[in-house]
Amino acid sequence: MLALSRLPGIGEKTATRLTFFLLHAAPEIAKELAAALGDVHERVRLCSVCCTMTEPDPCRLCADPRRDDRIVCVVESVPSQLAIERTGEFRGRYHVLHGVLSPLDGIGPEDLHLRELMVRVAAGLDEIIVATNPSVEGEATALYIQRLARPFGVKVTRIASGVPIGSDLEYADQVTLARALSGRREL
Amino acid sequence: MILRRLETRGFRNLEDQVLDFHEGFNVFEGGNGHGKTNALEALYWIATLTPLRAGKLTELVAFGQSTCLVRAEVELDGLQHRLECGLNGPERVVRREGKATRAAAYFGVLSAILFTPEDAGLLRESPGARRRYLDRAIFTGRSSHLSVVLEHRRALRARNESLRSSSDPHLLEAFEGTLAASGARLVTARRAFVQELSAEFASAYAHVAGSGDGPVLTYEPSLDLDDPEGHALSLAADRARDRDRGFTGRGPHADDLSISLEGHPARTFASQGQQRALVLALKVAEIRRLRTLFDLTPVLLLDDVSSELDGVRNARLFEVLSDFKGQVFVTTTDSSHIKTPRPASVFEVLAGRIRGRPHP
Ligand SMILES: Nc1ncnc2c1ncn2[C@@H]1O[C@H](COP(=O)(O)OP(=O)(O)OP(=O)(O)O)[C@@H](O)[C@H]1O
Ligand SMILES: [Mg+2]
Ligand SMILES: [Zn+2]
Repeated sequence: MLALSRLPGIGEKTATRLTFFLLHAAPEIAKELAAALGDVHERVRLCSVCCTMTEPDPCRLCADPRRDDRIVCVVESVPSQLAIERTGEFRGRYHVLHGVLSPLDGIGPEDLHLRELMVRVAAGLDEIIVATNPSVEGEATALYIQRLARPFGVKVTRIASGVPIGSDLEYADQVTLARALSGRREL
Repeated sequence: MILRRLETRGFRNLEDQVLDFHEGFNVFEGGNGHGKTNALEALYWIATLTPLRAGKLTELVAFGQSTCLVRAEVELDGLQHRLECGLNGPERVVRREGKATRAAAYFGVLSAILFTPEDAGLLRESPGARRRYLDRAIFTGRSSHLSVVLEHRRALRARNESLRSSSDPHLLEAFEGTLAASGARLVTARRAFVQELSAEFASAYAHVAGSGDGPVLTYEPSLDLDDPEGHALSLAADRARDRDRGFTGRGPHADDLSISLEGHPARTFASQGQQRALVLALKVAEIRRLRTLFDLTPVLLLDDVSSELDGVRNARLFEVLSDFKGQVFVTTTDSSHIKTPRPASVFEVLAGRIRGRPHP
């Protein structure tokens, strides 16, 4: 139970519920889970192309022939990638940095998967969409990528930030609203 | 906005209690050290999430306890709101309408303007104190300014760190980009504020000081260019020098607000009485600006009115405030000093216990 509650997003209550479930479910379920967890380090690795977490290499998205090779969306984390993928809007490829530049936390360019990104840039791309979070570090990382990619003549774009679609203006906080206003565009 | 009710638990020396306030004037009266300023601090904290005096939030928790809680019921445009902030050990808990929120979504219900005896020193203090004054005053009307300030601070620290620890020119450029963007937003907001305030300031001073020697407010930037591109150019130009000294020399973090009186800097030339009047005029101008531009009437928190102002000035302060329609909280050692222009509730503060008593 203690081990479970150490996982992110799982509190004491959830850990207790999961433990009860495993105790009452067929023993195979717990065994399967244990086996899967046991070799997670051997089986799951980073995709050699886009650096997402994957079992097959290259990953499913990198291997999919229907996706557009010329556009790469750069994200800071796997959850960000999943969030964008869920929209169904984006049909290009991804690149996962596993972090953002943060001098205050001692995270420099060499700590991110930028080298792998530059390999892809050098091989030829039309556009890089930088979809890092709109934080100081996320913005700086976007600018950094733009500087790196500039000599290759690749278009670098930044996702807009502001009020999430489908949410009520009334409930958006002032910071988000202010940002959305300053990032407004002509229709 | 009207602060109807305040509840405190484990806050400083205050007893756990619930107070119901008058929608006009509320006077906290009591001897030195009984908790008057503490009561005002509870109000200030729940309005701004900033303690009034404490350097560390944990100083707010009553000696010997580990948690504290302040709750307020606020009426705004006929609607009731509930605010709550507390400390659980070192962790701050903030709720609005009973739901935990991020600070950004907390603000907008209650704003406060504080008058303390320390204000009088604003002109003599370091530029940092005046920048904090500016940012706080802008925040009172537009709470999203807080995120501009925090973002700029973080970008500044990040550039300073990359100056010291990295030789990658792209990295420095990237953080100069974010610093320039947030710096330009910060300067633009401050300039606009100073300009808006200036309109009210001269007349407020004439009102407070009883004479109009034409004081002038000026924002003094350390960079000439206001737009992000201009900021970025200046940062790039300063790079070598900044690397040598190990920090960013110029930018909104080095700006100042100057006040002059009859053409001379008030900081060095104005008398103490004039300085006090100038700062008071700033605050009065702030209140008027909020009303004119945002139709906003904050609550006023006046600490230690009796000690700082003599009889005449005291009377003038309340005369200046007489056209103020909002709610006022005053602390004093002797409520007979306080000639409130409107009906009031008087609260006796005795060893942390606060009890209302009918006004004579
Ligand atoms: N965290 C705390 N826990 C308990 N008591 C505290 C705490 N912080 C401050 N105090 C006490 O509160 C008292 C000061 O209260 P406060 O500053 O509100 O006084 P005051 O009524 O404003 O006095 P004055 O008229 O001198 O300004 C002091 O006696 C101080 O020791
Ligand atoms: Mg006091
Ligand atoms: Zn991949």
